[in-house]
Amino acid sequence: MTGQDGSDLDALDDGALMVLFANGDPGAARLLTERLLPRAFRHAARVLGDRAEAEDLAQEAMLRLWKAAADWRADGSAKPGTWLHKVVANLAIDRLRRSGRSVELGDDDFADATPGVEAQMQEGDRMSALDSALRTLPERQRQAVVLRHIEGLSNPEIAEVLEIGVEAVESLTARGKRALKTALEGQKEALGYGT
Amino acid sequence: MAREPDTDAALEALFSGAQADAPGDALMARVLADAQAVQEDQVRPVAAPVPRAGWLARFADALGGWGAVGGVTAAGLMGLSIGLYSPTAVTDLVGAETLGLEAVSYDITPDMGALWLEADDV
Repeated sequence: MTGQDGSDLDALDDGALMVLFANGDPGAARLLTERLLPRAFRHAARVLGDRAEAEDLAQEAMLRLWKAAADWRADGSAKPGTWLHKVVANLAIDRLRRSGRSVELGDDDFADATPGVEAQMQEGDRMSALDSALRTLPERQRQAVVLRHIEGLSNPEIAEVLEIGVEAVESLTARGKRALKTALEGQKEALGYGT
Repeated sequence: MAREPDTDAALEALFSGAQADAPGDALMARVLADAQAVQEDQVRPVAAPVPRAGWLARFADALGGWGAVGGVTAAGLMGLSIGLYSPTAVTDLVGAETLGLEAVSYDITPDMGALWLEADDV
C-alpha cells in the first residue's frame, strides 16, 4: 500500500487513511495531518485562548490519533475527525481545570463579560477579543459554540463529541451565541464593525 | 434591539476570522515527526521478522530445551558405561537371573477354533 500517489489518497476518507497509516504509508500521515491538525488546533485555541498551549494540546491529540490507528476499524463506525475533537475537548477541559481557568457554572448560567474584553479589542486583536468573549462562557457552552460556528460540526456530531443529547447541544449553542453577543455588544466600533 | 444585526455581523466576522486560523509550519513538522516515529515503532516488527532457528535448535526445543538434552545425554552415557565396565554388577542387581521372554509364555489369544465347532462335530 505504501507509495500511493497523492491523487489516490486525496479520494480516500479519513477512516481509510487511518488504515493506510497503520500499514506504514507516509502519504496517509501527511494527508491526515493536513486535514485534521488545523481542526484540532483551532478547537484548542478557541477553548483555551492561548495559542502556544493550543499547539501543545493539538500535538498531543494528534499523537493519540496516530497511536489509535493500529486498532482503527475502517467500517465507518467512528470518524477520525469527530474522535479527534472529542480528545481535544477532554484534554482542554483537563487543562482548564488544572490551571483554575475553568468557568464552573451550570449550562443554564451566563457568565459576565470579563474586564479584559474591551482592552483586548482596543489592541485590534480580533482573535484575542473573541477568545476573551469565549472565556466568559461555561466550558460546555464554549465547546459547543466553537464546534458549531467555527468548526462547522453538525449537532449530532457535537453531541457525540461532548457526550450529550442533541437537544442539549441546540440549547448550548443558542445560549452560548447569545452570551457572546452580550459580551461583544457595544464593542463593534473597537472591532471595526461599527456603523 | 435595532443594533442586533450589527452585533450578529460582528460575531459572524469573528467566527470567519477564527475559521481561517491555522497552525504554524513548526507544529505541522512536529506532528509529522510524531507520526513517523509511531509508524516506525508499529511497522518494524513486520518488516524485520525473527530468523528461523536451525534444525538442531528446533530438535533441542522439542525435547524441552538444551537442559533436557544434557540430561538425556548424561543418562545415556551412564547406562553405556555401566554396561561396558560393570556387567557383573548388573547381573548381581537383577539376582543373577536372566530375564528371557522364552521362559514365560502367555497365550493371550483365546482359542477361536472352539467357536466353529458344534456339538455334532468330531
